[in-house]
Amino acid sequence: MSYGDHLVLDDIDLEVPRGQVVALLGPNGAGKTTTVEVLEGFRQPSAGQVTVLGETPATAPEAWRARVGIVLQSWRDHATWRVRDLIEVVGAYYAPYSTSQTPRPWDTAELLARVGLAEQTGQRVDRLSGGQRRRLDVAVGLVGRPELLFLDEPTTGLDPAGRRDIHDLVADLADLDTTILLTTHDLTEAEKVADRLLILAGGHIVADGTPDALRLALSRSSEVTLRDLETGEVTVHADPDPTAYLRQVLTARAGEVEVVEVRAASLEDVYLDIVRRAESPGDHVPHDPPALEALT
Amino acid sequence: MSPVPVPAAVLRAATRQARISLVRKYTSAAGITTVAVSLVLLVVLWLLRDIDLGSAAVGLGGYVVTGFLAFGVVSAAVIGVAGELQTERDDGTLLRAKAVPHGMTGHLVAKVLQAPVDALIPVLPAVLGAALFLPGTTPRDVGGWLLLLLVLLLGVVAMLPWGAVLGSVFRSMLGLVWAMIALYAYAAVSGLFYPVAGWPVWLQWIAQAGPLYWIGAAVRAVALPDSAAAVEIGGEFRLGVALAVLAGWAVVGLLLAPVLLRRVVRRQSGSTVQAARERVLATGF
Repeated sequence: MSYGDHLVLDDIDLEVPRGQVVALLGPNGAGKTTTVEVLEGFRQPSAGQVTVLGETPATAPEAWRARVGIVLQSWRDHATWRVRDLIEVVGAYYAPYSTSQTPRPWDTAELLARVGLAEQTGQRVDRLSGGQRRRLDVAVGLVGRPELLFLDEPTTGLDPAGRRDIHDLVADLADLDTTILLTTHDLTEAEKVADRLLILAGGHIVADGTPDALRLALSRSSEVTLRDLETGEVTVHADPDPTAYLRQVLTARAGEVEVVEVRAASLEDVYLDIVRRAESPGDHVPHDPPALEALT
Repeated sequence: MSPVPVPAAVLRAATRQARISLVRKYTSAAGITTVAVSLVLLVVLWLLRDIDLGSAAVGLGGYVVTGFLAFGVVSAAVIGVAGELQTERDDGTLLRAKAVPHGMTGHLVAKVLQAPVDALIPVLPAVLGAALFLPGTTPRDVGGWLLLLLVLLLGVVAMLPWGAVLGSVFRSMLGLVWAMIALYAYAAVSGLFYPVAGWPVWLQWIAQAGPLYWIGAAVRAVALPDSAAAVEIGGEFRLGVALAVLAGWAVVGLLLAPVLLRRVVRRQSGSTVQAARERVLATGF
């Protein structure tokens, strides 16, 4: 996928099974938004093949739209409408696609209660707080009972209680076999709600695996912190074999080291390390993501 | 559960969308102000009622009533639609419509339903006031009023693509302000508020080249007494020609507006809405 001569996505090979919750992570400019917009059908890929729920998103029929829900973080529409009106009008478009297995749209009162807006049904949209507005966006994305839901940073601007509600909602939807692709910068959130993490950097998938697999992969690399006895200088070194590294350091600098601290790398350490290596010029950027699944 | 047929569902949703949008708009301070301006104009018309236009048996007030009515339609269809399009592109309304099944069709139907009402509500107080206090400036029977309604509806549909073009070309409020100035200038040479019969012939042809002149001419033909035709080009009302020209422009409008709107919407995505948000935060418009 490219914009003019600028290659934005390259060699993305991704298959998501039904019911999986996938978190797409990556630094700004990594290609997350482009990836999601191609999958949503809002952007035509310049090359390659994309199939979502059996259709090519950019040319998919309206019936396909009824199976997909989208929650963006930048919506500020229908500001003067009442919450109930927005849900009901948007929901009405899904009525032709109702089936006995999947009744559409979702009942407004039930849906609003589910996202924690039961008290705000008659309130104007522009009078909702930031967190309430996010909940409303999620409700609009869910009103058609989607089989596949795109969530763009769903908890941005939410307080801890709001975040927990959204996380619980994602878990509920996953239980209902809804496939969810969420983008987030919050690694804790990704680890908590996702079955699978995808790290995108420089237009490539540089890591793909379960949170446990990623953590395990990361734990192979530990972080060693040393503080020099005389100078107080702190040295941090990541190494897959911290024991050997420490033996080497202590042999060479016997009596000079005051503090030794060894800890397993956190998910954030691993993420930053992967992204740094992927983005550093000259470093090898693996086009094939590490086989993290094999580590579980 | 038996599914609802698609056209019925879309029409139902679009009708409700148009109704809610209109209610929200005209119960807001901005909407009420729009209607209040019409009342102010009524006072102006009252003051102009005795200034005549030479050979015409109608005062300047009568000419301005029809001009105001015609311009109200033009303004709602062009500036109103262009402004809404620009706002809806920036705030994500269009993207929302794009994200739901048949959402864009429904949005377009809602706009077509909304535009005539949106055009008529602001001018309604002035028209009703004129009917009561300025005799000879509004239709004299039910048939005349229905004909006036038809003319206004044709005018709205004829001008819709102009709004869609401006809304898609200008991506900020500042651009729309320039478009408004251009539209006012165009209205000024289209004889909406003052007869063009006395102007140079080449200017008369320019006026007649666009739909604005014909909207004004049709409204005057329906609303003013026959004697007012004296200040028209050729000294007569050409209602048949005006309706035919407007019908032609309306057909062009109905064919072009969906294409233009879809073109605007095609470029919409989360990142364009986000970019618009950042632009508004940075520049204020």
